Amino acid sequence: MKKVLLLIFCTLIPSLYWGITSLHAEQQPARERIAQAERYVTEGEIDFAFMEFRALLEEHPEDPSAREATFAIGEYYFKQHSVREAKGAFEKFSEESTEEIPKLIATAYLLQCARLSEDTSSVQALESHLKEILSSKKIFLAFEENHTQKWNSPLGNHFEVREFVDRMEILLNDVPFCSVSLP
Amino acid sequence: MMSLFAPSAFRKWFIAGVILFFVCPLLFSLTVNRWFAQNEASILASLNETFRTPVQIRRIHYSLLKGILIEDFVLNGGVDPALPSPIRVARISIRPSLALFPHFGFQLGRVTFEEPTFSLRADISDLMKMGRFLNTSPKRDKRFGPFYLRMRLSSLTIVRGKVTLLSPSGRGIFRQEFEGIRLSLGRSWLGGERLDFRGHIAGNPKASFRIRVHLKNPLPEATHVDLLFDCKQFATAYLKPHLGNRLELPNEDLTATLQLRIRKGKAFVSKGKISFQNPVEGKEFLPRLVSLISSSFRYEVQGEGEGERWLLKKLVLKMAGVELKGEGEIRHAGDHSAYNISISSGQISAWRFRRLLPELRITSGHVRLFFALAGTVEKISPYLDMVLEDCAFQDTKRHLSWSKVDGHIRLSRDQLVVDEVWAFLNNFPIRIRGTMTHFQHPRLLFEMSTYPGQVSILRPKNPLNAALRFIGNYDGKNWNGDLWVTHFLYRGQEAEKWKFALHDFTVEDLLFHNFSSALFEGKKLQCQLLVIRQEGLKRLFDHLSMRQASFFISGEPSMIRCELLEGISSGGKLFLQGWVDTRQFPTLSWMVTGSIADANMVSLFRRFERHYPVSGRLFAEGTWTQQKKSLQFLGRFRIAEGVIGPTVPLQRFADETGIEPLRQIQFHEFSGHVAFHNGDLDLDNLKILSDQAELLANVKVRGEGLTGMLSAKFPEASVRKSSDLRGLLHYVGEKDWVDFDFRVAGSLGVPRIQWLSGEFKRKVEAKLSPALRKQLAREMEKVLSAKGVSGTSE
Repeated sequence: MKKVLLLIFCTLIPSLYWGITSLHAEQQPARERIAQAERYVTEGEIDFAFMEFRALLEEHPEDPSAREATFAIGEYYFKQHSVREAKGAFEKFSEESTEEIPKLIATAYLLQCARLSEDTSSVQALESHLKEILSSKKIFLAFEENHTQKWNSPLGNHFEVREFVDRMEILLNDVPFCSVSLP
Repeated sequence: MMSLFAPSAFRKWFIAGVILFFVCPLLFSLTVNRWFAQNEASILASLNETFRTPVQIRRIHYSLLKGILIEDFVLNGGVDPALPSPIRVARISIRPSLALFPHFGFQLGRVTFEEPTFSLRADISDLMKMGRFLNTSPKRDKRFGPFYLRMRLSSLTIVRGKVTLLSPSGRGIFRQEFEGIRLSLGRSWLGGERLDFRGHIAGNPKASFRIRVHLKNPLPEATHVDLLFDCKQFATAYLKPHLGNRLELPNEDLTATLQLRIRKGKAFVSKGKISFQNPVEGKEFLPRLVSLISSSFRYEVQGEGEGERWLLKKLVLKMAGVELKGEGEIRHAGDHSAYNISISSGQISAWRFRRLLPELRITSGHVRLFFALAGTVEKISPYLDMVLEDCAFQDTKRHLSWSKVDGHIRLSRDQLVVDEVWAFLNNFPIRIRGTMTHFQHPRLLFEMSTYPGQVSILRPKNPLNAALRFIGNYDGKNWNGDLWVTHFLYRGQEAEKWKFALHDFTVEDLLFHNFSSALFEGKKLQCQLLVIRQEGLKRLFDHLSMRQASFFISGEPSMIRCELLEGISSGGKLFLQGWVDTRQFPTLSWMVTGSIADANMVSLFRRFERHYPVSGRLFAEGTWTQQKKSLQFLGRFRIAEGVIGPTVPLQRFADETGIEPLRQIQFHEFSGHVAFHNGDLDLDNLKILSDQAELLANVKVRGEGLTGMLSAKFPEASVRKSSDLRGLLHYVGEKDWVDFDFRVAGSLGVPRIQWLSGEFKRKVEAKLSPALRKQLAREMEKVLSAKGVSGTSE
């Protein structure tokens, strides 16, 4: 009996040690890459930031920060006018994300991509989708004209979502980016 | 006395008598001749004045036996320069009584010559019995033999005269003045004696006529009278002056050639021809008919009669390629003449019928005509019987095709009777019966029915399989009858899918011109719908009638217009008018304009088995338009003196807000404008006016979403005292009407609301601190949540 217990102990202890050490070894690079990317963004080096985000997505696709990296990649491609790649990134982000504002902004990005690629059917579908989102939310504006929500993207862009009774406006760095009106 | 008869006395008196017998006349003759010889110059002057031309007389003798004997009478020319040949009479013997010869009147049959002026053109070289030439009886000639005028008269011209045709009773039928009359006497080629009478109607030289009388022929049975009437302007000279007011005549000249031969005895034969000089087909039916007939109209009559009754044993008319045979009778009674002539058979050829009705082309079959004439001279009643046997007509003008026409049509002076005509009109079986009086008061019965699927316009898509049936009559002003349109499920199946029926509908103000043309073109149709088997409409209308509707129907699908459809529903009057454009059939374009006035809302909803918490009297009007696939509606409504509520959501909303009038809004007026186009609904100027609330809204509905403005005003007193709103009103000092202005969007279930600035809001913003404002906003958001708004939507 002692031999059996000794065998189990000898087996479990190394396994636990290996498991804990290997996990610690993979999470640490993802955080580092995120931190590195944020540093690059702060410094205005968005190309290096993009590389970090892309490496993070390749190395840690299951990491929670991978969604943030997907959005950043989409933003980078959109800025570089690579509409097809940007569309793929935002579509992936929309599928995976559960946050309201980033998901709404990702949809706005997709709408802009469709407009740039002159995909009429996609434009109509995305506009309808945004209208559905807008009309599915109750709102009461007693003493202000709109509800405003702000969000900063991983690439350092400042988004502002202004929700009126009958329309919604999205500002990118205080510049109108996308607007949707109810019929 | 005895001494007188003594031989010596007798001899003395006998010699004295003989002397007196020879001497006295000689003395008288010598006296008269001496008188004539002494007065020859005055006699010639008198004759010159009489004839208005120089007269030469070589010698005049008077004889007791021979009367006045004139030798070598010469008349140098006449008063008429067209007749220059002098008259030379070698020997004229005149009794004193015949000295009035130039002034006598005479009668020829029923023709009376009154005071004619004669111009003689004669070579008196032969002898002819002249004294009573108007009476052909040889006995009379013998009886009046001593009064013979012995001369040969080759021609006698009456340069001017007045001729009157007389009726048997002696009174004139008409009077006509003739000119240029030439009366010639002579021998006919048959060897008998002949009188030829020619002339023309006064003032119309072309209206000539000729009468030839055979006085006596070698064979007694060949003696006859020929009356040849040859008039070149028959219509203008003869028919129009006497019949123009009773008969419509073409403005063309007719040439009439009539021949009447009366044989010895009672029998007579007459032949004739009437024709146009320049046959031109008229536009109207009757002139065209007259033209057609007269261009080849010939007749032949054989009969007998005397006095008042004349029988026509054989009557043959050849006209328009038709030979008609018949018989008749003519009676005279005083001034009255009655005719009864019937013509019993005939058949008109196709090409003749085509000339008669060019737009109605007969392509096959037979048309048989029966013609009868009855009445008096003053009122002639023609009667035409037309039998159609398996005929086919093509109406090229209206693209109508009549085929298999069998029937019987009777046409008289007063009425047209269609006994029964069966035909196929554009392949629709149709039956026509009825009468038409004076062509103004017809009563015609029509029956028309089709087989399922036969009417192409009722077959827009398979398997629509509709059949049409119509039974109606027409009385000259109105159409009425029954119309059915029945749609069967599939071909070959008798199960009805739906049926549309018009019963006892009437059509007014329709002029009946030609039923083969467009029936309702440019006219108004008035119908009354009593039976509608479509369940929805049956629920909707208590009574539905259609009036003043116009249907523009031609051979091709076109516009169908219904000007007014009037119905009564829920106590209100409903009017509909519109049109349907079938020119691009089966794609239909249509427009319906309707209005309803003073209808009970509750009753109206009950008809649709619905219940809405709205009552009142509804006044509404609108226009539906369908252009291709685009459906549009524009309208407005007004509900007067009604109530909205109570409903559970409104009750709850009133509980939460404290606005008591919301439980049940009694309004004076609830009105608005409605526009619908391809699924988009716009409600503009929605307005509720009441003593307890005033609501105004403009809403656009797109799918499930809506946007718009809502303005509401309530009196401060109508807010419940225990409510938070009343406290707020008290806090901000609002004591009059409370106004709320909202911008709304989203949907009824998920509202998006913005409180717009108003009097009340400005007071609230001025009185409340930011914290209290946030709290108030949360409270209001809670109240104006989906529950409340969705509740009001109901």
